[in-house]
Amino acid sequence: MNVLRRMLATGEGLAGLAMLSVLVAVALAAPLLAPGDPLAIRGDPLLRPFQEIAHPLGTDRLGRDVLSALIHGARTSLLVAVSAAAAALFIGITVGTIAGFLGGWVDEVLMRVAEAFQTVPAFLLTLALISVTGPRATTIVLGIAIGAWMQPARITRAEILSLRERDFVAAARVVGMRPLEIAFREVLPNALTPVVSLAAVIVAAAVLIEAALSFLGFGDPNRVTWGSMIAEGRTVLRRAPWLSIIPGIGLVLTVLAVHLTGRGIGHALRARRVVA
Amino acid sequence: MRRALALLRRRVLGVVPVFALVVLGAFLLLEAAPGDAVDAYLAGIGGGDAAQVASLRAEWGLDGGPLPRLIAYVSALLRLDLGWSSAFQRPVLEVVLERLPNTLLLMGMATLLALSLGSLLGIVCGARPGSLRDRALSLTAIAIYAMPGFWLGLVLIVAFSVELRWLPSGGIETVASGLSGLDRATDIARHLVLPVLSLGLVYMALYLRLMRDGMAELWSQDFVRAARARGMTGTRLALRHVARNALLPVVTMLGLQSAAMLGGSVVIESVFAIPGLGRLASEAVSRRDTPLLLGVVLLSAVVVMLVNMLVDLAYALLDPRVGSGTGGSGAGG
Amino acid sequence: MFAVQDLSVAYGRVPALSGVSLSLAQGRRLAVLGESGSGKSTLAMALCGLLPAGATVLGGIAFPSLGAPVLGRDIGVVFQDPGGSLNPVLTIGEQIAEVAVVHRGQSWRSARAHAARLLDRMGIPHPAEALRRHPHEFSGGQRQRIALAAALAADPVLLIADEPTSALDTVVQHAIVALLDGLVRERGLTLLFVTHDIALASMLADEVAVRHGGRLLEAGPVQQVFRTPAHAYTRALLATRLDLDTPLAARLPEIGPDFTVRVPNG
Repeated sequence: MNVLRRMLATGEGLAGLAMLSVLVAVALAAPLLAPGDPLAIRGDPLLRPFQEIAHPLGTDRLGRDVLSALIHGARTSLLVAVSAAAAALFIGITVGTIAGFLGGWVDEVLMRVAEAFQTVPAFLLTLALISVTGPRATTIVLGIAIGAWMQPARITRAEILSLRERDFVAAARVVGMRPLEIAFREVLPNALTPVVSLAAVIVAAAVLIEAALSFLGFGDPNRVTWGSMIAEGRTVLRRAPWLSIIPGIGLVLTVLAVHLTGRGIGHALRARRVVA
Repeated sequence: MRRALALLRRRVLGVVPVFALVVLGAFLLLEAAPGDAVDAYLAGIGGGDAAQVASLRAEWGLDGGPLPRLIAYVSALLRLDLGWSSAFQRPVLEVVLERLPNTLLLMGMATLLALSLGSLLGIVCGARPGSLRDRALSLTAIAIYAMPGFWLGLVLIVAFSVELRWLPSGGIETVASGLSGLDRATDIARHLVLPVLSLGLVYMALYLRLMRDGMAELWSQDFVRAARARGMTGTRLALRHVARNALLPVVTMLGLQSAAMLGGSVVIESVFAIPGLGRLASEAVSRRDTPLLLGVVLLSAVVVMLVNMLVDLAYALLDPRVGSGTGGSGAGG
Repeated sequence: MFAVQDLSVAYGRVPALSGVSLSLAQGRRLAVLGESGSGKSTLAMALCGLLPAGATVLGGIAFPSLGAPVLGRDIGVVFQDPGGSLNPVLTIGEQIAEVAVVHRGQSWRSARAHAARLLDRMGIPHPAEALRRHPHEFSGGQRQRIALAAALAADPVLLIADEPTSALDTVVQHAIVALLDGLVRERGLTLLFVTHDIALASMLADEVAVRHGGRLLEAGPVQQVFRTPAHAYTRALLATRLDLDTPLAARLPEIGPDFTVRVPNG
């Protein structure tokens, strides 16, 4: 597609897409690349990286393979982050469309609610939800989403407000479409462009929030995550600092990849809009 | 001045319904949590009989339906009663107010670092966009912005505390040291260096890029060309005309990021074992102390609202177009 | 004052000027006339050295009496958009005064006094107070006067005005033109102004240069060019102009003396 081509033309877009493809491939192929249970004890504890071929990145305090855990952790991080971003976008776009299109007191109330959510730090919102429901993958996804839906809602609402007065909306009304139908079928697709850029930012933020949650011990206890690996490594920080440092590098690369890809998409889409 | 006060009054009025919604949300969460305040209290004192439970419920207004409970909650809040912490066996208000100063100190210093260093480096980059130093600094900023704060904290601990042994690895001051005055301040300062860096560097990267991107865009604006036409060049042009305008979005972001920074302090305080509000939230979740968690949430909301109001005021002082009725941002008239 | 020799300017692959040769003597006023749209200001911007990055310049520009002119000190510039000429966050006093501080080495206090005098000459009411106000507090016409004040603050010898009245309404236009006329006369300025308004050109200029499609079609004293235009384009420009001599049949509906609307016969 045109957008893809334009994205690859920028240095950022190219680098981001390349990194992201590698990450997604690794995450998808996790069972093939690192077969078996990543939490199983495989070897001697606290092996340094590059010491043994069987454990290229070393082992942790209990003898679990770091590389295997790293690969499976990638899976969890990306899965949770993308789901959370999708949920946040869904909630945000829906609320924004309703607010923008119906206007009046509905708009007022919804925007005040958004402001209320924005006043409480997102991480605390997530913690609050998890404290009530318990830390499971689904509640973590929802918890991150309730802290991130506000910005997509505002952007969607702004776009709807600017678009709803335009000609093609009036035409739809003449044909006899009902307001909400017009909103979702005609106006919304045009309003989505700025939201797409935002999606990348939300995914990146979600990766970091999920990592922070697992680091603090509030992540899903049944899964390996980079955050939990870093927390584990903290107990032996003086003896084996690499146990905390390596998963962090994974996080940095993932967030970087998402950011760059997002900026690349943003540039490509903006170029198209100017022409249109 | 008059303009600033009018702005302030409008903001305060606008903030009230928002805070009411936050309170409502807190109440709903309290309802959703298993058990109520009476259960928590009795668990702390070792249980009680049915009569005690009933009388306590009646006393605390918890024996009616949801609406009476909401009214009881709100009236308690108006009396500044945030409930009882089961984890600490003390009123929530006491516990949170005790921890608040440490978090404010941490956040304040981190914001200062992020804003000053970020703006400065941003101006250095933005003065000549596309130059080598711009690209090097921008790249570094992107890398830093991608780092999780807690990981950065651990890396700093490994580097400065474990390997170099220059700085302590935790706490806000040396325990039971008996220091006071300037010595104590220095001790606290030493303890705060790494946490402030961990919290602040990520936001420094953000402000750097904002400043730089803002300046890069401003160079092509009409009024900059007009300033050039009047013979303004070099540092004078870059600072007085371009940077001064690029500061505005940075200040706006400052307000928006205050909430995020408060959230970030939760992990940083845990990494560095600082007895602040953030760590309190973490403890509250581990120990299933919902009233305490909500106390932290409400107090955080208040802090965020106050910071936002201050930032709005600062913005109004920096941008003469605000509140004067002609409105609009950007260089166009 | 200046001489342009075979000047060609292109933005990327789009040519804006091709082979333009022009000169202007000191104390004279030149109107550069042409169709509306981008590229018309290119000549003026090329003279100032304010072309956007990425513009390729071929040919020569010389200022015999100035050597290497300094913007602001030797050349003053006024732009089309009054809103875009002034920094929105600084007071107008600061912006006018800084020109005097930078180019004349004055102290801020004396520069501000100088700025107040300039504002007074430009017709801005309460000049001392106005110094402390910001651009958005003034109307478009006032902002153009302020921009003029800033352009002249260091007493330049050449004033370049790029469509100075195009963004203003008619009544204000006349006032600004009168102001420009007065200032040029008082200070013995050399004036170059770019415009699409023939009436303005004939009122204000001594000489006129007609531009079209990047080329200079003809140039000369204003009366000569307008009475006996050499080029077909100039003739067309003059023919489509509406004024009091235009025959009735060619006019649009007009408002009669009793304020009723009448449509002319034919």
